[in-house]
Amino acid sequence: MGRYIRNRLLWMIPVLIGVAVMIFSIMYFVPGDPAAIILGKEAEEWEILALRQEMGLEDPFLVQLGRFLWNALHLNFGESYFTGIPVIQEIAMRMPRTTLLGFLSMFFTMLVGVPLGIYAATHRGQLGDSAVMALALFGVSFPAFWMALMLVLVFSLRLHWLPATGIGSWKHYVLPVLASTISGVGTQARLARSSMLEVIRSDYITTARSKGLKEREVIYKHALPNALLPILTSAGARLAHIFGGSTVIETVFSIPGIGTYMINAVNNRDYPIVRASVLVLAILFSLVMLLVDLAYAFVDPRIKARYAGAK
Amino acid sequence: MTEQRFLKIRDLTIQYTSGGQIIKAVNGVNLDLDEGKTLALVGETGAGKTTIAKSILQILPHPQSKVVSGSIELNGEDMIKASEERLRQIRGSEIAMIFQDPMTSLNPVMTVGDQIAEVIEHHQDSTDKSAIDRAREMLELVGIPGDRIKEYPHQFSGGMKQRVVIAMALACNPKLLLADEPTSALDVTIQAQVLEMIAKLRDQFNTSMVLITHDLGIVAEAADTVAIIYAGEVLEYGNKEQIFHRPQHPYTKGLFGAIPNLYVKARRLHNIEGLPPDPTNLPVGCCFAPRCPYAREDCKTTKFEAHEVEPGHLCSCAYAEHLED
Amino acid sequence: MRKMKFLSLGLSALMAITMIGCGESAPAGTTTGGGGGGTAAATESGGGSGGETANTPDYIRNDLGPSSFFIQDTKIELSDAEKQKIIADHTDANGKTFVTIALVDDPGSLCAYGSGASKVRSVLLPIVYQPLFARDKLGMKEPAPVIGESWEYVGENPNGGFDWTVKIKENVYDSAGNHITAEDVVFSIWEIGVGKYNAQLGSWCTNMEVVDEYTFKATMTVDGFMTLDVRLLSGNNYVFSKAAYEASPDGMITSPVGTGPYVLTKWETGSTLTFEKNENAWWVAANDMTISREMQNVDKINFKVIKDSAQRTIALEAGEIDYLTSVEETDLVQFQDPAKFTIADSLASQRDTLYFNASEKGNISDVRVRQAICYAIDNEAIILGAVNSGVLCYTVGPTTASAYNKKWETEDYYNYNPDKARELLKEAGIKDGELTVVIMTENAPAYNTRVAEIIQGYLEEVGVKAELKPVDGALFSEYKYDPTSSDIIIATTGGNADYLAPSYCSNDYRTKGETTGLTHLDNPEWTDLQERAMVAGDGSQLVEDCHYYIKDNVYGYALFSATLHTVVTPVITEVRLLTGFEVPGANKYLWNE
Repeated sequence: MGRYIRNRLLWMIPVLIGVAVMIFSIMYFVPGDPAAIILGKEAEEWEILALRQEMGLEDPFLVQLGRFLWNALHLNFGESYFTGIPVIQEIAMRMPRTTLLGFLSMFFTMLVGVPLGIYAATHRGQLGDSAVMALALFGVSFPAFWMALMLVLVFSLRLHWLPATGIGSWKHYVLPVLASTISGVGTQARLARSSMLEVIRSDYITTARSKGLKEREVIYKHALPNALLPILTSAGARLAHIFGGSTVIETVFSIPGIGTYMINAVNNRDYPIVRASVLVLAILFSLVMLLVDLAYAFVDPRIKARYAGAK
Repeated sequence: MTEQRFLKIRDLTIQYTSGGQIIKAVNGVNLDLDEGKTLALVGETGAGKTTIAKSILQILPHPQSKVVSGSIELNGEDMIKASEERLRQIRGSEIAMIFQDPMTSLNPVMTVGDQIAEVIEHHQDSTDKSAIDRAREMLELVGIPGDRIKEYPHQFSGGMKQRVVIAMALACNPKLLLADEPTSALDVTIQAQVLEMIAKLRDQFNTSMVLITHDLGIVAEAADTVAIIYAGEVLEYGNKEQIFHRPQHPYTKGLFGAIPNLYVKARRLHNIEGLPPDPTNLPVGCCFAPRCPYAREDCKTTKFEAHEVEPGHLCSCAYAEHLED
Repeated sequence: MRKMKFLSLGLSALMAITMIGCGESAPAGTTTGGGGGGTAAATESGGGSGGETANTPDYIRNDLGPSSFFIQDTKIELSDAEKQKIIADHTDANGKTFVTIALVDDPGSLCAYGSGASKVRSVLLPIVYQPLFARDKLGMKEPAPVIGESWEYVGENPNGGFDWTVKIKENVYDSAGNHITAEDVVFSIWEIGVGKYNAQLGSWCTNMEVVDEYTFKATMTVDGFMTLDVRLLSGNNYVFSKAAYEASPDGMITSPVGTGPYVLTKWETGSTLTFEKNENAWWVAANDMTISREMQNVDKINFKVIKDSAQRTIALEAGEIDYLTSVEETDLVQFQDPAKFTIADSLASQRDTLYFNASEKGNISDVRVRQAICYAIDNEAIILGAVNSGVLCYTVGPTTASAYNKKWETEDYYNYNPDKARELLKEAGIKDGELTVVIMTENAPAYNTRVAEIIQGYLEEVGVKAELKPVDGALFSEYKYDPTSSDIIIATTGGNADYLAPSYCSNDYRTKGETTGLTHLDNPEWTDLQERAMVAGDGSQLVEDCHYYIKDNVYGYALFSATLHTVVTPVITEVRLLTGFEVPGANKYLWNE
C-alpha cells in the first residue's frame, strides 16, 4: 500500500511537468499581448516592443519555456505583470478560501445528497422517492449563479440574516456554500439512489436479509459500503467541478479566491498568474484523485489487494 | 392431513406485479416436510421453486410480491402471519437459506469471519470473541482452515465460497435449511464434495432441508420426498422411490424420459415439446395441457385436484392411471 | 415517467415566471433627478445642448452636466430625528463618520504607478496621493496648483526637446511627516513612474532632473504648453516621498504613503479597503488650494469590493453601501423611492466612436463610402437602443474642453439621411448588396455589441452588409493595428477632458504607416497638421482644422455619450464626480450642514 502511494506521488511529477508545458504553450500561442495591455491604448509599437523585450517575451519559445520550468522547480512563479505582487504570495492567500469553499461544499453535498439518495432507493416507487427525485431535478436544473442570486435576494435583501458579499466571518461563507451545494445535492442524490438500487438487488443483500438482520443493518452495513464506490468517484469528479466552477460563485459573492484570480489574469494575459494557478490547481486535483483512490482501497478490499499486489 | 407436521404449506398462492401485469408465480401449492427429512423441489427454471422457498422465509421483494392466500406453518407457527420481528428471529437461526450463486452470495467488502460471526452475534447473545471463535469452528467444519476467517470472499474459489455460505447458514444450528440449487454454479467434482458435506452436516445436526434443484441425479442422492413443480403448481408429490420408479404425471414421465441413458445409443435427447406457459397468462384448465401428449378435451378446460394414487403419492393429473387409453 | 415529465414542465414554467418577474424592464429614459435638488448647480454645461429642435426626444439628455466635473445637490427632505438616525448609523464606535462605497474590483496594487484595475485605481489613488496640478472645474484655462506651484519655459534643449522648469510648494508633507522636495518629485514621477512602471509620461518626456530643492527641469518631446499640461502637470503624476518609498517593504503596493487627504488603514485583499482622514494635512483648506480632491468631508471611507453588478445593486438596496455609480437603466426602477434614494444623472465622459480603416487593405477606402456609412446611421436611435439615454456628439474630442466650438453642433455631422447615403454609394460605384464591411467591437462596455447590431441594421437598409466581430480586450489590442482585420472599429474613447488636440492627434488617428493608428494610412499631410496642432495647442486655428480634417475624411465619427446614473442614499447631500469617478471626500454629507 505504501508503495502504491509512493508510485502515485512519483507519477504526479511527469503529469505536472506536462501540465506546465501545456499551459505555457497555450498561453504563448493565444493571441493578445500583455505588454500592449499594460501600456494601454496610447502606446506606440516600439514602446510595446521595448517592454516585451524587457519582460523577456521576445525570447525564443524554448528559452522562455526553459526559464519558466526552471523557475517553477524552485517554486518561483514570478510576479504579476500588472500589480507586481509575487504570484505565490497571492495564491497562498487565496488558496485557502477556494479550498475551504470547495471542501465545505463537497462535504455538505455528500452529507445531504447521499442519505437522500439512500432514502429514495429504499422507498422506491413511494412518495418519498418521488419527493427526493423532484428535489434532485430542482437542484440539477437551476444554474448555480441563479441560485446564488436568489439566495442573496431572500436571505440578504429581504431577511437581512446573512451578508451578501465578501469574506470575514463564518456567516459570509453560508450563502456561497449553500449555492454550490444545492446544485450538487441533486446529482449526488440521483447517483446514490441508482447505485444503491443496483446494490440492493445483489444476492448478498438477500443473503443478509435471510440471516435475519434488521433492515437498517442490511442497508447501512451491507449495501452502503458496496454502493460507495460510484459515489466516491463522483465525489472526486464533483470536487474537480467545484474548483473549476468556483469562479462563478466567487464572482457573485466577491470572494477573492483562485477562480477570480485566474480569470482576471486570463483576460489580461497576465501569464505568471495563469501558469501558476493552473499548476496549483493541477496539484490539488492530483492529490484529490489520489485521496479518492485511497478511499476506494479503504472501502473495497478487492481494490486494496490490487494496489498492494499488482503495482 | 391436519396433524402438525414440521413444515406444512397449504394452498400457497403468490403473485408478482410488474409493469402493470400480474405474474402468477405460485398457484395453490401444498407441501409437507417431516423433521430431519429432505424435500426436493424439482422443476424447470421459472416454475416457482425459488419463490416458494423464499416465501417460507418471507424474504420476497416487498412491493412487488404478494402472498394472496395460503399458509406456511413451521411447527404450527404460520410464517405468513408472523410479525416482522418474529421473522427476524427465525431467519438465520431457525430457518436458514443458501443460494444458487456462491460468487455473489457473499458481501465482497466484509471478511468471511465477520459475515459468519454476524449471524451468530445476531441470534445468540455472545461476545465478539466467542462469535469469532464459533465462526472459526464452522469454517473448520466445512473443511476450510480456521485462520482464513480474516480473508475476503474474493480470495476463495467458487466451491470454497459455497462452503462458507453453508457454514454461515448452519452457524446457528437451524432446524430447517433451504437450499436453492446449491451446486448448480459449481463444476461436477466440487458438486459432489459440497453435496457430501451437506449430507454429513445434515445428519450431524438433524437438520430438515428443502432442496431446490433441476438435477434429478441430486434428487436421487439427497432427497427423501420429491415434489414436481410446474407453472407454480405441484404436479406430483411422493417419496423418492415412488417418484423414480412409478412416476404418474405425464410431465414427470417426460422429465425422466429426458435423462440420457448410458446404455442406449441415442442421437437426440428426448425433450418435452413446447415451452412452459407465460405466468401472466396461464392456461385455463390443466397447466400442462398445452404440452401434454395425452391431453384430452376436458384437460384444457377443467382444473383437477391432486389425488392420491398410492399412500403418500399425490398426482394432479386426473387421467394418470389411464394414460395408455 | 409521466410524473417526471410533468415535474420538469412545472419547474421550467416556474423558472420562466421568476425570470419575467424579476427583470421588470423600466421604461426607458424616464429617470428624473430624484427628489430634491433639481438645479444642477455649478455645472456650466459645456456640452450637448446642440440641435435643440422642438421634438428632441426625452432620451436625449441635453440637460445633463458632464461627469468629468459634476456637482449635484441630492438633499432629501428629512426630519431632524431621521437625520440624526442616519448620522448615527454612519458614525463608528470612535465617533468617526464614515461612508461605504462599492468597488467593482480589488485594486491589486496601490502604488501610484502601475497598470491593472485602472478604473478602480482611478477612484482610490487620488484619495491617497496628489499630483502636481489639477483641474476640477469646467473651462479652466490653466490647471490649479496642488503640489506644484508654477512653471516656466526655459528653451530648446541642445540635445533635442523643450525644457521647462516647474517649481513646487515648500510646505508639502506626506501623511508620515516626510517633507517633499524636488528630489522626491523626480524620484516618484521619473524614476518610479516612468522608469519602473512605464508611465505614459515617458513617451512625451525624455528627461527629468532636479534643479534645486524645490525646482526640477523636464525635457518634453513636443513643444507647447498643452503637452506640458496634459502629460506632466495635469496628468496623473502622483508624488510621494523617496524615503517613504524605500522604507516600504513592497514599493508601496500594499502600504501606500501619500500626501493626499486620506490614509489607507486597512486592506483585506479582494474584500474591503478602509481609508481614514489624514490628520497631518499639509494644506489649509480654502487657503492653499481650491481643489475638490483635498476636501475631507468624511472621517472614514469604507470601500467594499463587489464584483457582480447585480450584487452591487442589491447592496445599495439593502443599505449596505451608500453610493453607486454606473447603475444600469433597467435597475433604476429599484431606486425610485425619493425618500430613500436620489438618482443623479450626468454625462459619461467617454464617447462611443467609430474608427474607419481608410486604407486600401480595407473595403471602405473611398471616402464617399465612409460618408455614406455615417449618413446611413441614426445616432439617436442608437442611443435609445443601446444605452437608453445619452447625448449626441459632434466631434471626436471632449465637449468639456474650453476650446470646444458650439458652432459644430449646428453643422451637419452626417445627420441621419439614408437617401444621401444611397446616393453617395451609387456615386462611388457600389451596387446594392455588393459591399460587406467588417465591424470589430471590444466587449467592454457591453453596449458596444448592441451598437454594432443596430448599425448593422441601418447599413442593411442602404444595401451594405455588415459582418460583426466582437472580441475581448486583449485580442482587441492586438487586432486593432492590423489593417486586414476590420473596416470599422467601435470603441469608447475617453482620456483627456480639457483639451481637444490630444484626441485629434492621438495614436488612433496617426497616419504614419499601416500599423500605426486605426486608419492604417500613410498620410504625411495629415501627420504634419497633427504635429503642428499639438505644438500650437487648443485655441489655435490648427486644432479646429483637425476637427474638420477628421470629419471630412471620415477617419473617425463620434456617436454618443451615454448617461451615467449615480444613486446615493440620503446621507449624501451633494454628489461630486471628477472625470466620471466618485470623490468621496468632496461629497457633502448630512453632518456637514
